[in-house]
Amino acid sequence: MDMLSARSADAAASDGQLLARIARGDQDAVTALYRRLERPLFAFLVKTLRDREAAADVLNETMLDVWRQAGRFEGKSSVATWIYSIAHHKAISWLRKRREVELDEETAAQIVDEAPPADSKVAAEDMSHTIARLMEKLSVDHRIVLQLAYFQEFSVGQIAEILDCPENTVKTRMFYARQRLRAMLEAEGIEGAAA
Amino acid sequence: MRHEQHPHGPLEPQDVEELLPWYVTGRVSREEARGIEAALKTMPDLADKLAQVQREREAVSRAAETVEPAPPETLQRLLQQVETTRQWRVPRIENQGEGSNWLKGALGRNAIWQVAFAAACVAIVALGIRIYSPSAPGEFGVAGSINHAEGTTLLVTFQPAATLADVAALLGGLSAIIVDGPKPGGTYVVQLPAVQDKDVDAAISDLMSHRDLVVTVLRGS
Repeated sequence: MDMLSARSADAAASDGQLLARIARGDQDAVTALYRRLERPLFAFLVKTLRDREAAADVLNETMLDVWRQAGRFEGKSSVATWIYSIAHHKAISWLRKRREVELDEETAAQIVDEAPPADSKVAAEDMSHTIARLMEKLSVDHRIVLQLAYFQEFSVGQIAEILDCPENTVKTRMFYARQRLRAMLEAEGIEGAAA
Repeated sequence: MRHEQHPHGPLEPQDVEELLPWYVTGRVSREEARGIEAALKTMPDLADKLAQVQREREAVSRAAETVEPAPPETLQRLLQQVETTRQWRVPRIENQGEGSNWLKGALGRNAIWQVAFAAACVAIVALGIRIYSPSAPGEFGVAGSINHAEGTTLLVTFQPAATLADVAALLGGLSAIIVDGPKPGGTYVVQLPAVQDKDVDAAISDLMSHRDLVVTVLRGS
């Protein structure tokens, strides 16, 4: 098989098929799975850790674990859920080492506030930026659940598997994350925040 | 994993609100979607709440999409590590084809013999690395650049049921090698690369966290 057709075969392979090849020691499958997951997984890690260098390290460690542990994957969850679970665990470990979990709220409160004056109306196109900016002030647990639900589009059940917690906890975290976000939007005088 | 049936039957207003973030991404069950759509007709303020959820989702997605890709060297580093650990990542004997049947026959199904065989193989490879290690670190590739000579030794006892592949993968992840054993009691001498003291503690914790594979870990000399 030439390189081009090998690449298209990789692109057509399911995550499970690539993982099975990784379990057999196929390094090309490692590259293919990395390329498939790199963008969303790296974005998730950057948003979780707020540190690109650390996110790259954790991405690397996650994929190395995938290489090492592929043979142990039992298919009880999807491959993506399993890999995000590894990445989440490593990201939290990294944050704990930096003692940022405990300090997270404190750190968030210290982020330079670039908010417009409270009486100004935020144009619709700026709303997205405002929400994104305020989201950076949320705790790590709240940022993670928003990322996993809104950007990665995981279901409640999948997020519960990734975070290793009950589904109700996922819903509760989402509820409080959104409540906190609304409170911050209201504090900036943004219309419709109370919706 | 999608919810096939809501555990509480018809959706309560609070359930509807809780599910909105997953409704906008299409990650609710058909039944839940029907419940939310019915509620949208009867709850006047729900449409505004849904619009807010959609704005949040758009903001999160845009922010994530603007994250620059990981540096290209991340993949290069990963592939180097994959190559380095390949020699420790021995395929499971049970999963091999005809070619390894002789090995299975010779070693039997006793896992500890398989581990002992792995130890011998790893020690030979490690010896090879030392013999052929160039004066300039890294000249012969990443594997040769791992400095075990000044590393810390650990005394590790593996679970009797631990397979060769599991042990090799576990040690490979730490860039550790078996340099001696099994000693009386089934203990192996495992050498870590030259690392700082806190990294040795981390390695011990890592090993001890694999209770299915490791019985005890003690610092060696």
